[in-house]
Amino acid sequence: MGLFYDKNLATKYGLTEPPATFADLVQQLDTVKAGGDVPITFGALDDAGIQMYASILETLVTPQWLDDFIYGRNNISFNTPETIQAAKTLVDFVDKGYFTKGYEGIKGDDAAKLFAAGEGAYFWQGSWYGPTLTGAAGENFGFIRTPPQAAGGSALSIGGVGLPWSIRKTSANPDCAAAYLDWITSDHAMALVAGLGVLPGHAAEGATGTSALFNEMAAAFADASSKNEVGHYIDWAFPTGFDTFLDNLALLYAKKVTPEQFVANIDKEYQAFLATLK
Amino acid sequence: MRRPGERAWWPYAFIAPAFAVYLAFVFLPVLDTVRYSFTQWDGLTAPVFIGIDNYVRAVTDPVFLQSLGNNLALTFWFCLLPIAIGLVITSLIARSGLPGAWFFRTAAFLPYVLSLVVVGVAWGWIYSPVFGPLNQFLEAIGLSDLARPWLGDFDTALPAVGVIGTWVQYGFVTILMVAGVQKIDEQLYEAARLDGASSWQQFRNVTLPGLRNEITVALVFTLIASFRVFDLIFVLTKGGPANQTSVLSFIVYKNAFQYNALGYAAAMAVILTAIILVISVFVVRWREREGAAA
Repeated sequence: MGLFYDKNLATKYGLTEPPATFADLVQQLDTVKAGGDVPITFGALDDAGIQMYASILETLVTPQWLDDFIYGRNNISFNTPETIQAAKTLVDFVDKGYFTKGYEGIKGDDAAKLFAAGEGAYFWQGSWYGPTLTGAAGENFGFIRTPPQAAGGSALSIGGVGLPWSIRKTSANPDCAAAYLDWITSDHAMALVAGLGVLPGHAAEGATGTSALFNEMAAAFADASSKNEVGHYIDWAFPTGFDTFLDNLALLYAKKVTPEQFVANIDKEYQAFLATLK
Repeated sequence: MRRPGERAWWPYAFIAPAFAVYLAFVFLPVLDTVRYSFTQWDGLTAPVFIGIDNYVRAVTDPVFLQSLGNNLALTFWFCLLPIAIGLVITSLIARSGLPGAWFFRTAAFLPYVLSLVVVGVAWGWIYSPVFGPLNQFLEAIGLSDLARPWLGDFDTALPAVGVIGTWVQYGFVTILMVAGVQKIDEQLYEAARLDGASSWQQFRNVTLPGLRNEITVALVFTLIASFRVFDLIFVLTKGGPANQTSVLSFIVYKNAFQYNALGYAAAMAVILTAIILVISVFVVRWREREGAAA
């Protein structure tokens, strides 16, 4: 996950350098807003921007905290200064009007089409939108990681390189299943994935594809991977996580909960899940 | 030779194949659902019997209660409003000899034959803040203050879904009513006119009573539709924002297939079935009593 950017708008506003820090990014968003363009193309109807929230959060937390949260270790709470700060940042974005007008009622894929049509400077999304943005206008877009809070500092980028596959103990053909796992993680399979313009799970270092956008995505992933800065999808922490985040993000945008209530609501669900593990 | 009163066996033989299919694919699964509703079951491991815990959980679950409330609110849009509109259209076109009345009948019925998924996608476009004609229209006539993200706005999401229900259902209701009016004895209207009854009095005293059965059928069908609505919610909002458009069938689906809480989902499905059953029986009984009294 990271930030797609529109090269035409970047040129228009003289944004020649990628933002070195999160504060730089916010400054760029201000510049675009002042110029009358949409700083962030966003459609909240499908996923309420959960990955945008997580992207901001993961620039604030330590890898240790994030791992504990995802794997339910060490009885940690979701109610922390960092989770609140990330929520406040989003509310701030709403207040400053950074998002596409009517974002609450826009579908994610429609937001991607808006962005592809040049309606927005940044699009905070996953590499799976790469193929959508690599059409006729393919060279208009680039991709960067969400910048760290401090210049040169470290920040996690959301990534899901692992998918939980399991082989049943009672399976009649465990070797066949294992062979399949070997195949889907093979260099050959990764090359097939890359051929479709989708970022493969490994072997991405030095991988070059058919478009400049793909190469920037691959470079961003290689950077995160080599620095051990690949984060997590936060909704994977508990079974109802996706819906819990979505519901509370919608409430957050509509100002029906404060950032403090937002994290408290999520922590309540999370603690209820942790209790079932004991 | 058959003695008087003796029943023949062969009608049952004709029913048997259909009944066997019904047993296997409707009745037994329903029984299974009831059975699972008393268990905690993740769909993989063996179900654990937990008594009525799932039912207790449902009636104390705010999301369940909110969804039930949304279903109740949708009865206005899916049931009452379409019947009101259906009656108005019927009184306008059924006996007026209006040229082209067949066209309006057909046009009104079209939404009902469309798949709700198609309807949902199309209305999703209409409501879209990006390219939706609704907001464009409001802006074009200078009412841009009214333009909003219909499906993402806490105040408008449920009514926005409801309007679609009205649009789908009113054609069905209208067809029922128009057909019903045609079998009302013309002499009744004639007698009413001779007594000096106005159009409204004719409608009130001849048409409405004559449509008793049609209104019952319309009530049952549209009430059921408002409680089992799923496709529209799934396509348009997934219950959002923050459960504002969540309905019972949708949380049954979510619990069963996303949270792997099949026992809890089964309990909610049983409650939903019971609600639909009770409403249907109640409406039919009520009309029967009214009919007997009339």
